[in-house]
Amino acid sequence: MRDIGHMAVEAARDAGADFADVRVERTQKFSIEVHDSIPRKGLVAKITGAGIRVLVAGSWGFCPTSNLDPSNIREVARAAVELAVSNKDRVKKVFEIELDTCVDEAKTPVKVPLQNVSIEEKLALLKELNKEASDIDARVFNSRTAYQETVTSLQIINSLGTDVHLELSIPWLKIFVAARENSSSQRGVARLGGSGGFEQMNYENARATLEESATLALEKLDSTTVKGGTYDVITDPDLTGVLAHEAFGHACEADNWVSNVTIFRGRLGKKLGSEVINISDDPTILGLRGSFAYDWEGTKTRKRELIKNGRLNELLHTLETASRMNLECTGAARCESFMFEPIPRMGNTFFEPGDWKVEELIEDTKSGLILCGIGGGYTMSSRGVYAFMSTHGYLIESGERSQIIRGTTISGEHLGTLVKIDALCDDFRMNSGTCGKADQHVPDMSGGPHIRIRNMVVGGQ
Amino acid sequence: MKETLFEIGERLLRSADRKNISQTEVYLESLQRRKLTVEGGSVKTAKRINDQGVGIRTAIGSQLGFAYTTSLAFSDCQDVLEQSATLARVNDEDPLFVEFPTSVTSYPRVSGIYDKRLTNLKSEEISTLLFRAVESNQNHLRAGEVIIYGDLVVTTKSIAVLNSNAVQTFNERTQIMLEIDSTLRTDDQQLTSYESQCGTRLADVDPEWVGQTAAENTLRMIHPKPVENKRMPLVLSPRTLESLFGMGFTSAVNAENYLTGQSYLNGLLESDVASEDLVIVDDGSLEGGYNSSPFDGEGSPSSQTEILEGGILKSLLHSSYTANASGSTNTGNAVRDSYSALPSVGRTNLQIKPGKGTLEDLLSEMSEGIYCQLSLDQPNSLTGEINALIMEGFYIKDGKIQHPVRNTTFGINMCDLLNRIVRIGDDTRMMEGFLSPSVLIESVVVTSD
Repeated sequence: MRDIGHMAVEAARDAGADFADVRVERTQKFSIEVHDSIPRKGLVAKITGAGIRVLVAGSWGFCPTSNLDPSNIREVARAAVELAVSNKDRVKKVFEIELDTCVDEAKTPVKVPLQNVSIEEKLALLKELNKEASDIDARVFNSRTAYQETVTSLQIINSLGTDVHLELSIPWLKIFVAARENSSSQRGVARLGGSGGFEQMNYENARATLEESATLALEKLDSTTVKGGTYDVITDPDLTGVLAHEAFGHACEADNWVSNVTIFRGRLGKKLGSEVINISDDPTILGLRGSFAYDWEGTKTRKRELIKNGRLNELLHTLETASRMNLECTGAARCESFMFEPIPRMGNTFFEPGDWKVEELIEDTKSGLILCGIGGGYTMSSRGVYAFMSTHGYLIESGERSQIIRGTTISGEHLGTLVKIDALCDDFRMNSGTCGKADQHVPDMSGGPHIRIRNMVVGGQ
Repeated sequence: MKETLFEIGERLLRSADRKNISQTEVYLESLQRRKLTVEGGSVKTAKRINDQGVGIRTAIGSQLGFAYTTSLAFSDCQDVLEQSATLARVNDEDPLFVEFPTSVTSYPRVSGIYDKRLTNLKSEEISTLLFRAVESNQNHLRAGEVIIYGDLVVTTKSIAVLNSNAVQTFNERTQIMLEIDSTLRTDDQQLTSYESQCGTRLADVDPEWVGQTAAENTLRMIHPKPVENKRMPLVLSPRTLESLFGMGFTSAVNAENYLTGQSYLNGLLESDVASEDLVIVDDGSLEGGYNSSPFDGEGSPSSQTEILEGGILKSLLHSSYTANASGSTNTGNAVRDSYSALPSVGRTNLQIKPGKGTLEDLLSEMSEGIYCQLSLDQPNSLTGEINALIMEGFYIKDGKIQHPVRNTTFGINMCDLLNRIVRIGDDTRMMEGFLSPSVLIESVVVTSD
């Protein structure tokens, strides 16, 4: 892999590239699900290829290829240069990539390699969980246990001397349980995932995930829809994580800044909310789904304190955004695969905990909503708006948690939200997910404590 | 390309036969995609992607396996065949599986889905097309600081499907997609909107129209305000209906979901579920349709399926698997994004059939209401509930647009929405596999800041 990478970079330099980098990748995927005791959608895959990127006078050319024959690699590298040259007259601002080169290798710590566990053994766990789902309660009418794993070997080489080898291993389990009573049908979803080996999927963890999913589906059978309006809202750690990700994480991705469309423009270093608010993205925490030691450009990554004591502190950078903005590269470049070019992304994003007790916060809130779970979300940072969805929640009446409510949509504006957050609890949990941006999907985690947000718009029926 | 893909496929089927694999399906794809991105009047990235690969499904009895690789080298393809068969051997039996599709005498003739001018576009021509849209946008946004983002994607895709039941078919398609996002910054606010156009032929895209419309959409977003929380009528644009129906209705009539009780229309097949004016058809053989092809992702003929007519839910969307499992007719809706995906039930070109009247006619019917131009939300596929953020929308009074709405949502259950459609316009536009005019909903719950 290293030889192929050097070959591509040399060919690009010879053809006139100012800068070139290449990601040579070998990935093995396996996924399968058990749906009402029938295994379905079994898939194994071997993905091999190289993504060659070149820069000529400020113009990028990017050509991926799955053919790693030396002659093809050289030809594709030259084609990338030709592509960049063909557009260089349409580039307004020439920039140069500046970086501290790295030569290293890093491997996800693994106790039980995913490749060493047979398909039969993985299937047995899913089937057992699927069977147990229907035994939990007679109202459960459908269950789906879905497992996927990705094992990647990645060589990152660039023309300035970076030469980094990464070994990544990411298993993920999602359990869907649907329950029905009279005319009410509800679904629960729970996830288990990090980076590591099959030890992450031990039976106790998987069983707890099943129970979380089934309990949610059953509890929601008695849920009512919430009346739309403006409420004081306490988000649970899962939904706090979605808020951290959608409302702030994406807005801190520096490609929005280079393009000059972010609503946070001109506010780096400025106060956006209460001093108790700290939002970080940290890919260096071992064992999480969004963890990596070096990013996909071979930059050593680190914890990024995006919002520190209420101030917008730093951004998520690639080599390009850091060079263009003349700031330190924070190692946030990621790619879904060799087919894509690196762009700034989050890893593990979270609100740091505060000091409130959850029950005290509910009591203090008196009237409002507790909103919970990962129902999805999206943002448009040029518009400065975001929306995210809860899977369920509870009314707060007279300072107590009461009636369970169904999922709903919460919307807000980036600039207005941080000033509405006035309390963070001392609990903490991260949950696993997948983030989509520019057609690229990458594994990540998000989380935090229970937090309170005043006067949020909550959609209703 | 056809001969090359068929040769690989035939060799793999012969190889599978020697390995005593009961049934084999080979899906081969070769794709070329060019993408150019422009930001702030400057080229941001140029990409040329050549993506080739094979996905192989095998059945040993009724034990199923699937494997794929990003290569068409025969030795890699043989490895994939072996991996697929290995997975099938260790898998349990699938009692619902009967067989992969069997050969057919003919496929529908589908016109307007390949344009060699798209395949032959030079990178300079791609750049010129995109910059025409950027300049048109710029020309219509003169006041204030303007930031324009644009991208143009041109794809040529060759697909061959062969199976051991004598299916052997090939198709070549082209697609083009042009999008302009513009942001206008004035002293006190930042306005953003976009426009896009897609198609299968070069002539389907009008760069000047895309640029100008994106600019007009942006200018209309000035001075948004919240509105009163109450029930109001709502006009949904084709773009909003793409999320609500293209995604959120398709999932409800997807036989995979319906047959496992995972649809908000559960148990309502052949029942009255909607306003009688609403006619919804899925048509994989539509002339010039973005997702049109003579065959679906497992080589079954594409067809026109009447899903909803006269308010009655007449048909679900089926693949060979769901059709065989439920004793229904296969509608040719096994959808595959690429060789890396298993076929699953999905839409080809979902159409809401037009009624009568322009957007202005629909708006004029509201004494007070909301026009939702853009929302990205989808309903819960099990309960049908939706609370959607109106990303771009306007408050309407006495049939006229008053102002854009700010931080506003609408809420309704899809089962109610289907019944509350009181008027369907004739301003049909084509998006990615979805064609629809604007639609007027009698009432929804509107919640605002």
